[in-house]
Amino acid sequence: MFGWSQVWPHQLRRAFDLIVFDWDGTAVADRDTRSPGLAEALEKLLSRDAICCVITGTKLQNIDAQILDSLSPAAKERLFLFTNRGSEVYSFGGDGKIGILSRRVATEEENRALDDTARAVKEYLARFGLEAEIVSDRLNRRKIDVIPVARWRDPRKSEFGELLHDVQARLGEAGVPEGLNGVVQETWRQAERSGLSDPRITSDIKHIEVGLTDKSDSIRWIREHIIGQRGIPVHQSVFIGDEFGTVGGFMGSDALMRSPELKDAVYASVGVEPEGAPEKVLHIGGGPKRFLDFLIFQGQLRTPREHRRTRLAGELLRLSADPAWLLKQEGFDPSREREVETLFSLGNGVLGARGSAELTLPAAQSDLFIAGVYSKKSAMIPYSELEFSASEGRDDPYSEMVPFPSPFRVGIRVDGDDISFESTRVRNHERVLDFRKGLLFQTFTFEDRNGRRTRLQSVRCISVADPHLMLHEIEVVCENHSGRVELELAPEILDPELRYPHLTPLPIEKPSMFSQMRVYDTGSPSHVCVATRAFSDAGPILNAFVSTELKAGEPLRVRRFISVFCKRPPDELVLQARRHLFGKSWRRFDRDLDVHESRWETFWSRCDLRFKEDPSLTQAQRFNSYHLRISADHNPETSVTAKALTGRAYEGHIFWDTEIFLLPFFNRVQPDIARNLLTYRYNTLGGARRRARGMGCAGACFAWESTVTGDDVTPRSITIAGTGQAVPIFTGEQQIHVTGDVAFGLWQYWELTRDRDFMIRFGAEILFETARFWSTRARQGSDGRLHILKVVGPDEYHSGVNDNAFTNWMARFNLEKAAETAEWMQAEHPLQWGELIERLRIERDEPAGWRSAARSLFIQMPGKDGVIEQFEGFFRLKDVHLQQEERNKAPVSRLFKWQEINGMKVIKQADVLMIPFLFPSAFSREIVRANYEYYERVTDHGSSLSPSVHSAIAALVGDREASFKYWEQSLFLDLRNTMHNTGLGIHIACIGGAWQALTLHALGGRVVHGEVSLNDIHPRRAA
Amino acid sequence: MKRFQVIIAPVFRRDTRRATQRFLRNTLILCAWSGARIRVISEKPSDEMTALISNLRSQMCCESVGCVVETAPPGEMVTFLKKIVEEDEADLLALNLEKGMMGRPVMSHDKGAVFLETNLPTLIIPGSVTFGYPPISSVLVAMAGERRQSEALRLAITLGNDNGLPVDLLHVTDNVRRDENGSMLGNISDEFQHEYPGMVQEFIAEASPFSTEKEKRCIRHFWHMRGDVSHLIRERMGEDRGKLLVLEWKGSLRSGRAEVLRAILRHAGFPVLLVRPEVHGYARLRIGKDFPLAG
Repeated sequence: MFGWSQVWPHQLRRAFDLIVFDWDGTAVADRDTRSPGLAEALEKLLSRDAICCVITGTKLQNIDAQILDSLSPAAKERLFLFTNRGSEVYSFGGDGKIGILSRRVATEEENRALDDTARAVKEYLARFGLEAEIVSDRLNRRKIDVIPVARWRDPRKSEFGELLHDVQARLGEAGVPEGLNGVVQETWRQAERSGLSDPRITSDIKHIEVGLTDKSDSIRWIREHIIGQRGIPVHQSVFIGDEFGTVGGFMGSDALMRSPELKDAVYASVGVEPEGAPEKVLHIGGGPKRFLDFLIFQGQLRTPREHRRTRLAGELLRLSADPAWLLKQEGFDPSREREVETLFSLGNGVLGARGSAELTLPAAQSDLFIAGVYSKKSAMIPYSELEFSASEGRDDPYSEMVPFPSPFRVGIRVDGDDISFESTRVRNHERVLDFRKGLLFQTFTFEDRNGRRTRLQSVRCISVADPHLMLHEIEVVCENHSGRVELELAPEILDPELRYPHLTPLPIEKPSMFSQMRVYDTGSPSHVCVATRAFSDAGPILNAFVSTELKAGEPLRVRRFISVFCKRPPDELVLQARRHLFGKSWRRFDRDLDVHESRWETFWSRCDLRFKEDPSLTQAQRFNSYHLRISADHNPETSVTAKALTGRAYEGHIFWDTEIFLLPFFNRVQPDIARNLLTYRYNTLGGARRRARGMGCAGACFAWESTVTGDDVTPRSITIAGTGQAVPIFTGEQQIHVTGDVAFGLWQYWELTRDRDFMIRFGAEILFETARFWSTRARQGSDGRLHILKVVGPDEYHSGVNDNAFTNWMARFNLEKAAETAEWMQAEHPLQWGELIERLRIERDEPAGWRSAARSLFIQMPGKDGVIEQFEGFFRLKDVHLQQEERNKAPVSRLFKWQEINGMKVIKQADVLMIPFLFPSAFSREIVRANYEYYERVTDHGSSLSPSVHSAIAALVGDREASFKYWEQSLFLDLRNTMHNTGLGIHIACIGGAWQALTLHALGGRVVHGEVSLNDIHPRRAA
Repeated sequence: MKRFQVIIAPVFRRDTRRATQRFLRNTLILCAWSGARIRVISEKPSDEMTALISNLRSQMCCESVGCVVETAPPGEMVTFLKKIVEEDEADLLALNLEKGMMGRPVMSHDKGAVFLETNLPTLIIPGSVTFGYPPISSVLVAMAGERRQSEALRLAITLGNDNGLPVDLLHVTDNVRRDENGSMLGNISDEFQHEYPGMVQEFIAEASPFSTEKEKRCIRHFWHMRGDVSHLIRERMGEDRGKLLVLEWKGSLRSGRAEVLRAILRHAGFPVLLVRPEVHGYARLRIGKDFPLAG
C-alpha cells in the first residue's frame, strides 16, 4: 500500500505547528502563474491551527490576492505575511481585514545613503563602459540592474543558469574585475562610504540589491514574536524555500532564513539547487507542486477542530489523584466569599487575580492586581482593615496599589433571564485550586425559580511562562432544559467609581481582533491595557458577547486569552497586546496551558515538601509554597507587598517582610527571583536617600512602607470608621530596623549564591549607603557608646523607645558587613571599588569608621537571668497578665489605648526573639531559652509574623511541642482564617516564616524539598 | 415606602371585629405610606369584610389605596396564602397580635404558621401605631451576629435605598461569662475580637453579601453594645418615633431568640418587620481534619 512514509523523508513526517515558506519559486512558480489548490490547502492547514508565514522579497501586492481573498477570516488569523525583504510584517484581524504589524521605515539620511550607494555602483560600471539601471521604488532598498537588456527583462528562475552566463560574459568582456562578485564587493565598499551602518547586499544575478533589511529580519521577527511569545518548540517549525544553496557562487536568498537560534528547526528546499543544498537542508525538489503536496500532507496530519476535546472537559477528570495537591471548597456561602477569593488566588508575581466566581456577587472583591502599578491614595479604599481609613491627602503619586476589575467575569442569560446569585439558587458549587498545575477550576449549578438548572464550569490560570498572559475556559450547559444562552464576556462592574476609584477607561477604539479591550488611565503615569481574544467552538468571538441555542446537555464553550500590558503610552500598549494575542487560537490554548504547567513542575521539583504521616500538612505546605511562588517574579521595579497580589490591604505596600521572611525561601528555591527582589531595593535607593536626608542623616534609610520610588508611604494616622477616632502611626518615622533588615537579606543572598555581579553592581552600594545611615543616625551617649534613640522595634506596641535590642543588632550587622564588603572589593575588584567610591564620594577611611561605629554601638546583652531587655526601660514597665483568649485575638480596645499600652509589658510580636531567629548561633541555648520563656508569656501575637518566629525559637531550645504548635498556627493561619482577615489578602510573610521555621530551624536546614518525617519535628504527633 | 407593591392582610375567623378593624386600619396606613395595594384574605364572609374596609377607607380618606377582598375557606388560610405567594402576587404580609394573658400581645399559633409557611417579610403593626404615628423616617436593624449573613440587613438596605431612609445597625453582645479560672463559658461568637478593634465593616460586609457598596451607603450608625438585648433595642427605638425595626426571626416563639422578640412585641410602640433568615449554603474547605483521604 502506498503510504506517506515512501513520499516524505522522516523529518517531515509529523505535524508542524509553524510553517514558514518563501513565495516566489516555492509557493508559486512566478508572480503570474496561479497555483491551483494552494488556497484550499492553506485553508485546511490554518483552520486546523497551524501558523503559516509567507516570506517574500517583493511587495504585498505581488502575493496572489485571489488566494488571500478565498481564505476564511478564521484561517487568515493564523497567517502572517513578511514582505519587502524583511521590512514589513502583515497579519489579519478576526474580521479578515489585513493590518500591518511592523514596518521598517528608512530615515531621510538612510534613503540618501542608499541612493548614493546605488549611484556610485552605477558610476563604477560606467567606468567600464557598461550601462546599468537603478530601480528605486522598493521599500528600504535600491536595485542596480547589471544587465538592462530586453532579453533579460523578467527572467524566470529556470533560466538562471543562462542568465548567470550572460551576466558574467558581459562584465568580463568589459573588464570588470572578478565579474559579478567584483560588483558586489564594490557595492559593499560604496555602502560603507555612504554611511550605511548595517547594509544588506544581495544579488539575484540580474540585480545587485542594497537595502536596510533582508529575510533574516523576517526570521528574527518570527523567532521573537511567534516562536518565542507563543512557546512553539523550535523543532516544531519548518522553513521551506527554493534556493538555500549557492548559485554561481552567490548565496541563495533562502539561506537567510537559517539562524543559529533555530538550528533545531527543519529546513527543506523544493528548488533545483544546481550547486546542491547546504548541509542540514532537506532537498526534496519538485518546485511549487511538491510544496503544495507538502501543505496537503500537513493538513491531513492535523486533527479537525470538531474532534477536539476541550481542556475543561478533560481536565476536570484529570485533577491530581493526590488530594494533597488540591485545595477544595464544597458548597457556597456568599458571606465567606472574600475569604475564599483570597485563598484561591492565581498569579505569577506580575499579575495576581483573586479566585472570585465568574458571576458578579456584590460582596465579592474580584480584583486583578498588577505588580508595580500604583497611584495616589483614594479615600474609597481602606488601609489594613475595612475598618481603617487612611488620609487621602497624601501627596505621593505612588502611594496605593491600583486594583483592577477581574478579567474572568462573565454574565449569563438563559432565555432572557439573568442567571445571578440573587435570582437563582446555587444547587451545587465546587472550587478547586490545583497547586501542582497552577489552575483554578470552578463549577456552579444554578437553579431558577422555574427549576431550570444551568451549569457553569470554568478553568483559569495566570501563566507563569508568560508574565502578560491569562487563560480562561468557560463551559455553560443547560442541564434540564433547552433555550437561548447568552454569554457576556465583559459584564458591567458594580459601582466602578467606588470599587475602582483610580481607573478612568480611555476612549480608544478596540482593534477588531479583540473581543474586548480596555485601556485605563490610572491617575498616575502608568496606563494599563487589558485585552481579550476569545474563541468559541465556531471560531473567533469579535465582541464581548456570544448567543446560541442550546439543547439540554449540550455545552457552549469559550476560551479566552487575556493580555495585560502597562507603563507605556496607550497606543504602544494596544500594539503590544495585539502582538501578544496574534496567532492565539482555540488549540493554542492547550499549548499555552502545557507550557504553564511544565513551569510549575520545575518549581515543585525544587521545593515540594511531603509529610509522609500526615497528608493534610503536605496540602497546607503546598498551599503556602504555591502562594510564595505567585507572590514574586522577575520585575526588579517592585517587590512582594504585604498581601502579595491577593488583596488590597496595606495599600500594596512593601515592608521588611520580603528580606526577613521571604528571601530565605527564594534564596534556596529561586535565587533568580531573590536577586530581583533585592535589586528592587537598589532601584529604590533614591527614595531611601531622601528619607535619610529628611531625618538629618547621611546615606540611605529604606522606607518602612515602600512602593516604586522608595519614598516612605506609611500613613501618619488611621481613622477607625466605627468611632471616628484617629490613631497615630509612628512606624513610618521610627521603624528604621527595615534598613538593617535589607542589609541582612542581601547578605544572606550573597552568602548562598556568591553572586559577584550582583554584589558589585547593586549589593555593595546598598550596604555602603545603609552603613552611612546608621553611622549618622546613632548618637554618642555620656557612656561613650553609640545609641539609637526614638525607634519602634518589631513590637509595634511600643514607640519612641531607645536602644531597641533588635534594631541595634541589625544596625551593627549592617555596619560590619559594609566594612567587610569594602575590604573585599578593594582586594578583589579594585577597579569597580575605585569607580564606586568616586561615584558615592566615599572617603578612603570611611569603611574603617563603619567598623569602629559597629564596635561602639550599644548592644543590649543578657542580664543575670539571661534575658535581654527589649529596649531601654522595658523591664520597668507595668506587668500585665495576658488571658489565653487574648492571644492571636487581641481585645477590642488595645489599639485605642496605645498610650497606655506603651507603658505595659505586653508585646505585639517577637522582638528580642528575632535575634536568635535570624542568628541562631548568636547565644547559647540557655540564653535563648531564658528569653523565650520570658517574652513568650507577654506576647499577644497581634501580628501574623509572630507564631512562626516562636516556632523557630521553640525548636532551637528543644521544645518540639511548642514549636509544632506555633508552626501549625502559621501553616494554617490563612486556611483557617485565624485572624479573621484573610478576606483582605494572604499573609505572605507568615507563610514565608512558617517555611523558614520548619526548614531552617525545626529541620536544621537539612531538607528544602523532599519527604519530611514528622518524627523529626514532633515525635509524639508522629507516634 | 416604595418597596412593597401588594400587602396581604389575613383576617382569621376568631379575630374580634374590633381587633380586625384596628388591624385593617393600620395596614391601610401602611399602604398609604408605601403606595402599595391591600389584599385582604379573610376567613370571615366577604360581604362583611368588604363593607368594613370600604368604611375604613372612607373614614381615613384613603380611597386611593387599591383594595381586593378574597375569602379563604375556614382552616385553609395557610394553603390559600401559600398559593398566592407561589404565584408571586404578594411581597409583604401584615399580621396583628392578639391579647394574651394579662392583656399582653401574643402571636397565635395559626398566625405563626402563616409567617413560617409563606416565608414573606411580615410586618407586625402594634395597636399603638395609629393616625398620629409619623411616616417611617429611619430603619433600625438589630443583628444577632450568630449567622454571618443577615436577611434583615439585606431588606433594610433595600428599604433604605428605595425610600431614601437612613439605616442604623445595632449589635448587642451578651455579657461574657467566665468560670472561676477566668476562662470563657458558652458561645462567644458575638464577641468582636481581633488583632484590631471593631471589625465593624467586616461584620457588615459579611452580613450583606448581596448589597453593593453604593447601596450600603445608606447605613448611618453602627452601635455595638453590651447588655440586655430587648431592652437595648427598645431603648434605641424609643429615642424618636417614625422608626421601623427590622429583625430576623426563625418563626418559633419558644426557642432561640424568641424571648427577645416576645419582650419587644410586648412593649413595642413601633412597627416591627420580621424577616426569616434564608437557608444559606454552607461552604467547607477540605483542609486539616476535613482533608479527604486519597481514593
